[in-house]
Amino acid sequence: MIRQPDIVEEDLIRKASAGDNSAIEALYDRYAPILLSVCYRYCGNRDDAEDILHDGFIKIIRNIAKFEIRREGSAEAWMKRIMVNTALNFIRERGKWKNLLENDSINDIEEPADESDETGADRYPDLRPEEVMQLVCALPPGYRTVFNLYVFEQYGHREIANLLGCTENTSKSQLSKARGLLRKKISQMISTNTSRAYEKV
Amino acid sequence: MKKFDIPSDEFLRESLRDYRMTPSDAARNAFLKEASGIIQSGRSSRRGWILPSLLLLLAGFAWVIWTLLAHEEVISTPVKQEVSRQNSVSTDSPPLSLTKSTPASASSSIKTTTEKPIEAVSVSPAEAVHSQPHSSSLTQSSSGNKTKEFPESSEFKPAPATTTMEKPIRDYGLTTATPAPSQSQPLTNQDPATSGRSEQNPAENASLVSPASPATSSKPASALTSAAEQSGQPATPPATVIATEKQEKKEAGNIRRSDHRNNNGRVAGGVFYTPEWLHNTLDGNNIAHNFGLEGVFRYGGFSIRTGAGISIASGANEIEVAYKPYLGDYRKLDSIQFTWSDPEHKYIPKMFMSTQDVFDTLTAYDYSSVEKRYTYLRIPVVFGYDFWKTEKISMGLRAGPVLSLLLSTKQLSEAYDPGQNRILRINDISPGQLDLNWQIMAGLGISVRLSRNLLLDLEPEASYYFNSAFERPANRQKPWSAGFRTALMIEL
Repeated sequence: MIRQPDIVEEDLIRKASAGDNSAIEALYDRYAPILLSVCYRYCGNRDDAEDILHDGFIKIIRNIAKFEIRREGSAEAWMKRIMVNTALNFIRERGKWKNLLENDSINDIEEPADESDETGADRYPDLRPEEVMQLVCALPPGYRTVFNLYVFEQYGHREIANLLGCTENTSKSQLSKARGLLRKKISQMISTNTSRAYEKV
Repeated sequence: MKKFDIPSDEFLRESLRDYRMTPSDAARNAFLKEASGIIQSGRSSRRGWILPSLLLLLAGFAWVIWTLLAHEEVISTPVKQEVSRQNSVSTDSPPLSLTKSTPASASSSIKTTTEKPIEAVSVSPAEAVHSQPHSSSLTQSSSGNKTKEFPESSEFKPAPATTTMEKPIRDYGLTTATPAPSQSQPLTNQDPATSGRSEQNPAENASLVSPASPATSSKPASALTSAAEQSGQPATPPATVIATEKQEKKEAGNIRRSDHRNNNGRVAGGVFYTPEWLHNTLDGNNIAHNFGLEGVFRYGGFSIRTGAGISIASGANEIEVAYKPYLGDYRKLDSIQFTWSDPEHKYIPKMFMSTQDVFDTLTAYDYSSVEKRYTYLRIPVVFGYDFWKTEKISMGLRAGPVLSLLLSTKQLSEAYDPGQNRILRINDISPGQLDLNWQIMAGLGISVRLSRNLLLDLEPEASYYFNSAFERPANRQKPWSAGFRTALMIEL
C-alpha cells in the first residue's frame, strides 16, 4: 500500500489540473527554476524575469487541463514554449519591438568572415553557466531575442521572422551580429580571466 | 528541427541546459496566491451555470404549461358545441326548440315569449326547467326598451333553430340546466317601490309581470320557480333534471377525453427507472441509477418530457496522504534513580523509560481511494418526435438537455488507515464534485400501449457529459454514458 514518494510529471499535471493546491505548489517548485532562467535569458533582468515567470505560470495553470502528456518531459517543453511566448509579449509591450530591432541593426560589430571556421568548445575556457548567462544577457535586446530563439529554442529564421514580424534577412543579420558580439565578449572574458590567473601565480 | 553545425552555439546551449535560478520567495508567494484565486474562480464559474440552467428549466416548464393551457382553450369550444348539439338532439319536441329559440331572437317581443313557453312546459317538467334560464335571459335582455320598440301587435318571426339553440347555451355554458331563481324572481316579485324602472314606467312593468298575463297563468318555468320561492321553499330542480345534468357532464367529459386521445394533445405522467453506464470517468466505468417522476405532453408526433428524478452514483475518490514513515521505536530513558543497597554495597540504578516511535525525516506520500456515493437531482427536458406510430406502439427519437444538481455526498468506505505512520496532511486529488452537471441525451423511444390509459416506455439512450465529477481532465476526454430508460406512464 505504501509507495515511494515518486511524484512523476503526469501525476503532478493531473493533480494540478484537478485544482490541487499542493500539486500546483509542487509544480512551481519543480519547474520555476528552469523556467526563470529561460525568462532571464530573454529579458536580462531578474525582476522582469520574475514578472514573466509569474504571468507565464498563471497561463500554465489556466491551461493545464488542456495539456495532454505524450512523453516524459513534454510538460517541461510545453511550459518553456509558454514562457518564451510570454517573454516575447513582455518585450514587445515594454521595449517597442521594431525599434529595438532597427536600432540593433546598426552595423557596429565586425562580422566574422566565416562562421564555420570556429573550432568548437575547446577554444573556450571553462566558462561557468553563470558567466555564459551573463554574456547572453549582456547582448542588446534585439540580438538577444533572435539569438535565444535560434540557438536555444532552435527556431529557424523563417519562424523567427514570423514571430518577430521582421524579414528573414533581419533575423540572420541579428543572429550574425549577436554571435560576433558574443565572440568579442568571450575573448575579453578569456583575457581577463587569464590575466587574473597570471596575477595569482 | 534545425541541425546545429556551429560549435559555439552548441557550447552555449549545453552550458545553459541545466542552468537554474531560484525564484524569490515574494514571487513564489505572489504566484501561489493568485493561482489559488484562479482555482476558486474556476469553481465559482462552474457554479455560474446554475442560474442559466434554472432559467432554461423554468422556460421549459413555462412553455409546457402555456402549451397545455392554450390547447385546453382550443378544445373547450368544440366540446361545448358538441354538448349543445346533443342537447338539441335529445329534445324531441319541436315546440320546445321553438320556445328556446324565442329568447335568442332579439326582435321578439315579450308577448311572444310568454305565449310560446306554454307549449314547452307542457312537454316535461325537466325541459321546462331547462327553458327557464332562457326565459329569464329573455326577460332581462328584453326588459325596458324592447317593449317600446316592438309593439304587441308585431308579428313573431322565430329564428332558425340552429342559431337560436347555440346562442343561449353558449351564453350559459354547460350549466344551462341550473335553475336561476334570482333572475326570474324580479319578474314575479317585482316591487314597484324598489324598482326604479317600475316607477318610471308602470305600463311596461305590467306587460312584464302582470299576474293576469298569459305567461303566468300558463306557468312557465320561471314562473314556477319564482312561485316556489314565494311560498318559502327553495327552488330545487327535480331528480330527473339532476340526472340529466350528470349525464351531460359525463358525456362532455367523454368527449373531451376522446378529443384528447383522438386529437393531438395528450398529457401523461408516470415513474421511470434508468440504469446508466458511465464511461471515461476518473475511476473507471460506473453505474448510476436514475429514477423519479416524469410528465410528457404530446402534440401530434411531437412531445416534450420533463420531470424530476434522483440519480445515485458511486465513485472512488483518490487521496494523497503525506506522512512520515514509521521506522521503529526505542526505549527512551526518562530518568534514573540510584538507591543505595547495603547488602550489595553499591548504588542500584532504577531507570524510568518510555517507548518512543521513530519516524523518517523525509516526507513520504501514499495514494489511496475512498468510496463515495453521490446523490444528484436530475431534471431532464427532452424533446421527441414519433416517426412511426400504430395503435399499440409508437417509436421516435428523443433528445434534450439534462441537468444534474449534486444533493449529497456520503462516504461509504472506511477512512484511510495510516498504520503507525504519522500523517502530515491528506489531499483530495480527485476532481472536486461539481454542484451542477450538464448532459445532452439522445435516444430511441418506444412506447407500448398496455391498456387504454397505461403506457410502457422503453428507451435506449446515450448521454454526453459537458462536465462531470468523474471527468479526467488530463486526457481531455469527456464522460459519456449509455442507459436504458423504462417508464410506466398513465395518460391523464
